[in-house]
Amino acid sequence: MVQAIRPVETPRADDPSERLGALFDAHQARLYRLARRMLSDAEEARDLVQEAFLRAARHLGSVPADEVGAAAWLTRVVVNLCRDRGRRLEVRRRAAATVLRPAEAAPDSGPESRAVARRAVETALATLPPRRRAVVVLHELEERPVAEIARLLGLARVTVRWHLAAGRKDLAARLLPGGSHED
Amino acid sequence: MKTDDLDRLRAALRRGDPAADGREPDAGDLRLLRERLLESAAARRRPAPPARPRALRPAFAAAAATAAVLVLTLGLAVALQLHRAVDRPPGSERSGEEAAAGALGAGAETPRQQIQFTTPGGTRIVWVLYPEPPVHP
Repeated sequence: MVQAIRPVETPRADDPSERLGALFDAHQARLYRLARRMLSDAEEARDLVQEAFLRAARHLGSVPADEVGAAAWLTRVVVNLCRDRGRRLEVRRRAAATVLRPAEAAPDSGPESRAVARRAVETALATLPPRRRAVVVLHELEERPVAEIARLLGLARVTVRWHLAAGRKDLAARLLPGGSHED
Repeated sequence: MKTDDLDRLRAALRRGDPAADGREPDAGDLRLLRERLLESAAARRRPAPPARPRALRPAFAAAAATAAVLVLTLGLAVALQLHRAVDRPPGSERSGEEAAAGALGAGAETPRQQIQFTTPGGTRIVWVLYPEPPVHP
């Protein structure tokens, strides 16, 4: 499940288009998955990734030249954009706030059951604050270690652990049978 | 959180992973997105045509308008002065008696000539030419 950050072919420093193209090729799939998990909407996620790369195009000089720094820069842009869009989607989210517990849904693993489980996870993730949601997604779904998440999001490790613990607790209350969270 | 709760939470999260719905953008979409991105970046880098600073334009317009008004005013003033000077040329002032005499008939013997024309600006110029008064020994 871990998607390693692919090495970027070293583009010519004097050609911004090549650099931008290389960044897109190396990071778009990972950023799309992150946005998709953060936003619960495929179209929104695609628009958001496009916006993130447009920002990179506008501020190419401020994107770190090294691979890890560039990955972190882009990740932070995506998380920030998710936060902005999350405000717009708040109304929709509240309207759909009825939490289904996947374990209470159809017990089989057919497409319908999976759709119910996905909807439950999307709704539960959407209730977390954006940064906490990013930490949970990166750790629990992308299986990235705490140190890497701290680097990607520009946070202290202790902060990442704190967000992780709080996020897990909230999600467990919403997703596991016997969870005590009430909307 | 207990370990088995954590395991169950992870299992629930993975089972309902929003990114596992198979709706990732296809290769065509990605190519289009990449092209648009690069085009947009290239368009941004294209140098813009040199433009005059906008702040100066109103100043130039005001200065031009002021200059035009000044030229018109000066032109009118000069034309008016000229008109008055032609109506009463220096040395042509006559005493009341002479004027009365002229009005009674002496003036009628010295016909006046007029030259009228209009300047390109629309000012009408009228020159009145007096013949030299007869010299009486």
